[in-house]
Amino acid sequence: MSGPKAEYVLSKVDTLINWARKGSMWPMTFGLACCAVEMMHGGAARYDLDRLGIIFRPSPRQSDVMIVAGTLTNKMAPALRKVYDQMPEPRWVVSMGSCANGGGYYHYSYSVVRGCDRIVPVDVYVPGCPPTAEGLIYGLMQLQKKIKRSRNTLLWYNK
Amino acid sequence: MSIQNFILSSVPAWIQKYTISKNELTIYVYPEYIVPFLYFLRDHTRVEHKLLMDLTATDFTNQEKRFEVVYNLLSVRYSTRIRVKTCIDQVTPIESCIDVYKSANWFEREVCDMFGIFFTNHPDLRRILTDYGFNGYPLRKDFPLTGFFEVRYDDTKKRVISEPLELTQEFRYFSFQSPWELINKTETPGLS
Amino acid sequence: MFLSKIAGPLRCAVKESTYIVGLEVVPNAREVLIGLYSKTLSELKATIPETAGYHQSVKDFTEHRLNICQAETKVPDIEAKIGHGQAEELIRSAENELELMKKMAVWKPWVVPEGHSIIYMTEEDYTADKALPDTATGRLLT
Repeated sequence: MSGPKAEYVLSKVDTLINWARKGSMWPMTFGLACCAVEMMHGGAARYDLDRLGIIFRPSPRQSDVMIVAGTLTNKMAPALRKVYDQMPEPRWVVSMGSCANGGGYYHYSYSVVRGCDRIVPVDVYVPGCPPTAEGLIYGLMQLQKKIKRSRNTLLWYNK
Repeated sequence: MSIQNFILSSVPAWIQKYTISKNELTIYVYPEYIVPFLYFLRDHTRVEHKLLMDLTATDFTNQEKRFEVVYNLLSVRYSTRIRVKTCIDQVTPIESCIDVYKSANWFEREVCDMFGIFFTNHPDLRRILTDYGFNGYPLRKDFPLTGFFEVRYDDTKKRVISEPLELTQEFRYFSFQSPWELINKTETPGLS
Repeated sequence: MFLSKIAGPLRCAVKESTYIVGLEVVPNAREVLIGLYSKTLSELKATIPETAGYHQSVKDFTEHRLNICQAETKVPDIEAKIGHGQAEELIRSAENELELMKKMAVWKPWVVPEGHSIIYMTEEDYTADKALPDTATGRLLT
């Protein structure tokens, strides 16, 4: 098969895979503090996350996105990294709330990690203190758009 | 007989000073007599304070005995509260009141972790709130707000490490007395 | 049939439960209370000196309660007149008081050393800013 035709087929394969991945993102919830309640609001009746295919999984081994919701303290940092390392590829991280984005309200404290991106690589930052459930859903939909843009198969073919 | 007169007449040798501020009684006791005093307050029928609500400490840097350990007691029978305080400095240990009130267990661990006040006769005095290898006593007045170490993940070592603090922006202290510039101030707001 | 006739009134005399977890009903509460209060008074005379404020206060309420116990015969009347909770709770506080008295006899808080005086701080003294930060500069007022 010649180049462009192969690339066309593979890009369609990519579209299919990305559609499958973004249609059922299973988060591993890392609800640490008050943002966890807003995450619960997101999963409850008014803003239902289940209709977007998002089912909260208790185990990192069965999830593909990790939502860091709340203040990350120094004591919790190794545990966060360990949970992230236990997630299988492909995996994404959503940083929710100002404490997870950059230390937030407790930025100058002696025992707070100034942003969870010091520990794990983050894909989407959701601002707010706490972000409304709508804001969180907006952030998750941004992540869906990011997943839709990715071209894994095509890059593998072109390597 | 009011409760403070009663306590003062029963145990005069133990009390250093007392005050009634905003309808709340506070009694200062010498640190060597704190446990007998708590036994008295718990068991005596006229002052049955059976519940220890809180055990904390405060740091007053301008006093010789810088820490004030505060016990808040509640009597359900008489529906009153009493605050008992002792003043100690940072090298003196104080006796643990865990035999009197079992709930003091974790409170004393917290006070020891945050201030460095040592409690004798405590069965299990280890750190409770701070990080596992943390040095220093955070709630003392000479401990800076931002601490001394910060934590990040190092990709080469593949683990979370702690390294000395590097803040991109210092903590800015704003004076909220007035939104306008104050005329008499010689220092600029925001610089400490 | 005979037994049920006797057991009926007997059952009514003792209350079912104290409704407090851990406190069981004591059927002969009056006797127990009288015994405890008499023991308290005798120990008080023996171990605590008369001049102590502690002696006076314990004697006051123990004698008051002992008189009530001896005057009334039924436990609910005693509870109502003393007015400090149920009979089982009174028994428990009397036992605690006895334990405390033994310890007080050793500690002797009424023995005031020379030159010791209790300071009374007024409200202004207490709320004076001891070491609060200066709101203008953020430094402590030491």
